[in-house]
Amino acid sequence: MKRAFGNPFRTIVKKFMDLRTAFKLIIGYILIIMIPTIIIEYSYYSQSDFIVKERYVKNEMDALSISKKNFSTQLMQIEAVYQVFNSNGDLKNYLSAINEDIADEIYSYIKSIRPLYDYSLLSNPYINDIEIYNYSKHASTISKWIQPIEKFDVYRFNITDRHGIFKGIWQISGNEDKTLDFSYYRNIYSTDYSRVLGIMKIRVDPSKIFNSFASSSETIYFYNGTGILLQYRQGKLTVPNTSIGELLPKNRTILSLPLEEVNLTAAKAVLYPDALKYQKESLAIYVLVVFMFLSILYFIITFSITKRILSLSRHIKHSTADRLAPVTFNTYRDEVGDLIHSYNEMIERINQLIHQVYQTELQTKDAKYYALQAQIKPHFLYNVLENIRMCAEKNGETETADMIFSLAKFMRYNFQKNRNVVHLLDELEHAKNFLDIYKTKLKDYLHVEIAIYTEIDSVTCPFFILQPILENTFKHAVIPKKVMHVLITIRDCEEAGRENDVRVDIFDDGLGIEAEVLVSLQQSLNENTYVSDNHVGLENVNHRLTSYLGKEYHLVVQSIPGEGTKVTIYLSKSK
Amino acid sequence: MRILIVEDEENIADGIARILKNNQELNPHITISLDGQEAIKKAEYIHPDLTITDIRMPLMSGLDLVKALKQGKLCNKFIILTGYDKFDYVQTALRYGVIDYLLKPVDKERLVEIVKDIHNSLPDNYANETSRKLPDIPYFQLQLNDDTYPASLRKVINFINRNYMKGISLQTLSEELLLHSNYISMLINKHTGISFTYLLDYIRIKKAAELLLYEPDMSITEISYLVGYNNERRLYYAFNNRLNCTPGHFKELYSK
Repeated sequence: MKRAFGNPFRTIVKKFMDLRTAFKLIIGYILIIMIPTIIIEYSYYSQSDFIVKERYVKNEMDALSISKKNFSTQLMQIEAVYQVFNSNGDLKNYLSAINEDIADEIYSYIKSIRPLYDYSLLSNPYINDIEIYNYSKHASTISKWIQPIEKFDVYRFNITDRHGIFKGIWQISGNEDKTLDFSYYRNIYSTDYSRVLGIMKIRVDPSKIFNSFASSSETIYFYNGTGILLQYRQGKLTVPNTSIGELLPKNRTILSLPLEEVNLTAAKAVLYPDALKYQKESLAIYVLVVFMFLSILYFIITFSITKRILSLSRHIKHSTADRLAPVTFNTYRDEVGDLIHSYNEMIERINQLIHQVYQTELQTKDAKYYALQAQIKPHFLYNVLENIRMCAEKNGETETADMIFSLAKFMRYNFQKNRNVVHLLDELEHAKNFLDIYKTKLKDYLHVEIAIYTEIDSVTCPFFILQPILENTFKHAVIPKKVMHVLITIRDCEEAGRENDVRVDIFDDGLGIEAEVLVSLQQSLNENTYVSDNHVGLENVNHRLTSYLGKEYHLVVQSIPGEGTKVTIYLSKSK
Repeated sequence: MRILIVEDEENIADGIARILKNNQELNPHITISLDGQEAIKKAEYIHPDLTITDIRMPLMSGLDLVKALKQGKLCNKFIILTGYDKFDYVQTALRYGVIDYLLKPVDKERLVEIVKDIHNSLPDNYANETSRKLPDIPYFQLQLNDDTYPASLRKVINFINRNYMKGISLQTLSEELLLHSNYISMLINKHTGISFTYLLDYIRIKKAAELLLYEPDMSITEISYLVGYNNERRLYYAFNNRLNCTPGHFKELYSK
């Protein structure tokens, strides 16, 4: 169970470890550089986006607050006009109708009240109009802007607002003709504040007073709970027909600020400027640049290691046993450089050793050869043999002389250097000498015959093919104290397809070869392989025959155990 | 025939001399020298027809000797007999006009054969040989040197021509030439139309006839040995069989 569980993990690890270095680098690049960079950059990007937006919203809010402050200041300036009126004794006297004489009233009006009114209107451009509604029934109505209280449309106000009039209240309302009425209402008191003399109404120009909000490029909406809704846009104040909910887009950040004095709330939708978008794009470019930079850095660092390892690997792969070249590309002094350096040293050492071994082998061979030559000195040997032979000849010992002649010829043939191809006749003569020498040993136990049945003057064969076969015969086939016949025949080949060949049959009536041995031997001859240890001579002959004449010229061995053996060599007449 | 043998090994020199002397036909006069300088001195006296020399010898090499003898016009025909089969030796030898380059161990038959050829090519012998004309009877019309014969048949005829004086049989031919006896018979029959015994008799009778006509001092017994019949009776029998007359009768009939 445990094993079954462990296996998939191990296979994954093994699969990863088996990957080519390039793939490993790519996987490492994705895991170590690409994914973290993208995650970090994305989170940084989204966070910074948030911060920038927040800061922008705050700025906007600050701007709105400043506008509100300006707005309040203007309202206070207008409220200050009330203070001027309320502290004017002549006006109070006029309102309370203290002057019995109308002439005095007119005088008072013209002397001080009218200039006050004119001054206030002139000095304050926001003020459209000033009206005073007088409670005193006696007061004359010599001016239009001072009217009896009956003219005051008190129902414009709800109950709480009516109380507000004591302290001063800003009231905004739409008129029937769709114009806006934006006014300040406050009671005017008698000198000792024991009586309310009238209500003062200062009507201001709404579009002018809302200019405090002109700094904002966005549309600003003003609204309150009673259904009043204003829209301020580029210095123009209008009353839209729709509700506030429809005007403010839902998916945008909304800034709102209460204007306590006038019981309104200012609201605007934040529209992020294009500059912010550029900021975003530049951030994206920055992210990309960082990403590219990191990627390049990663590849530079990894390639500084892997490039040389890969080159080394390729180099080793391409170098064969007989061509070990040292690495030639630039190496630095890091571990990889050390590795390459060690490899080069190793190669040099191996090359040295190969060279040494090769040289030694060559020298040994030379030495052996010279030793052999020094020991034997063929020419010296022939001379000695010739000496002995001629001695025998002189004494009439022809048999001895002939034996030595055979031996010397046999040796001369075998000592030949650099001979690969010879005439079959030479080879047969050599075989005869060889057999003659054997005959001196086996005497009457060996009968030898060589019989040629065809013209073989031009037939050639590889050097030294008959002797190994005959040696094999003497090694394996001889039965002690029994006469053996060896017959070599050379005939035209009568088999189909071999009309241009001659066959050399070597018969013996010795022990013969056992069936199984024969089968394996013939198989190794057919396939031209070295299998058995016993027939190295035959296999060597076979190998040279087939490489000289072709595959179909392999040796054929036939044998009946106890009866004898026949080895057949095929040779081409035309080669 | 005067032969100079130059060989630092006395045994070999003696052996070669013996081989050449054993051949009755040659009847050589042999001088042996054990080094080159001695050989030049001897050559000045005897003017050899043929010099057989080794190459590697003390004081003077065989090739230098050949050169010296040739320049001194002391001898014109040379056989090299050496243990070395070095190519440059052979090349130099051929350049000096050496007739043959024999390797030790020397093949007796081949040596004798070459010497015989040289012997026959000497002006006086040559005249001798060609002057020996045989009577113009049909039996002697048989021609045996045909170029269309296969190599082995030419070898057989050559061998018989050189060895008719010995006891030749199909067996000895077969042993010597490695050709099977049946194949030899077949070859002879096929190309010449005669049998092996006829061929052998023909060559021997031809020689015997020469001797009968041009060597009048020789006895018939001597001749029978010289041509390989080895006794008078067999010679008689052959003459009777092939020419329908006895050797004596033949001599009487055709000698001038």
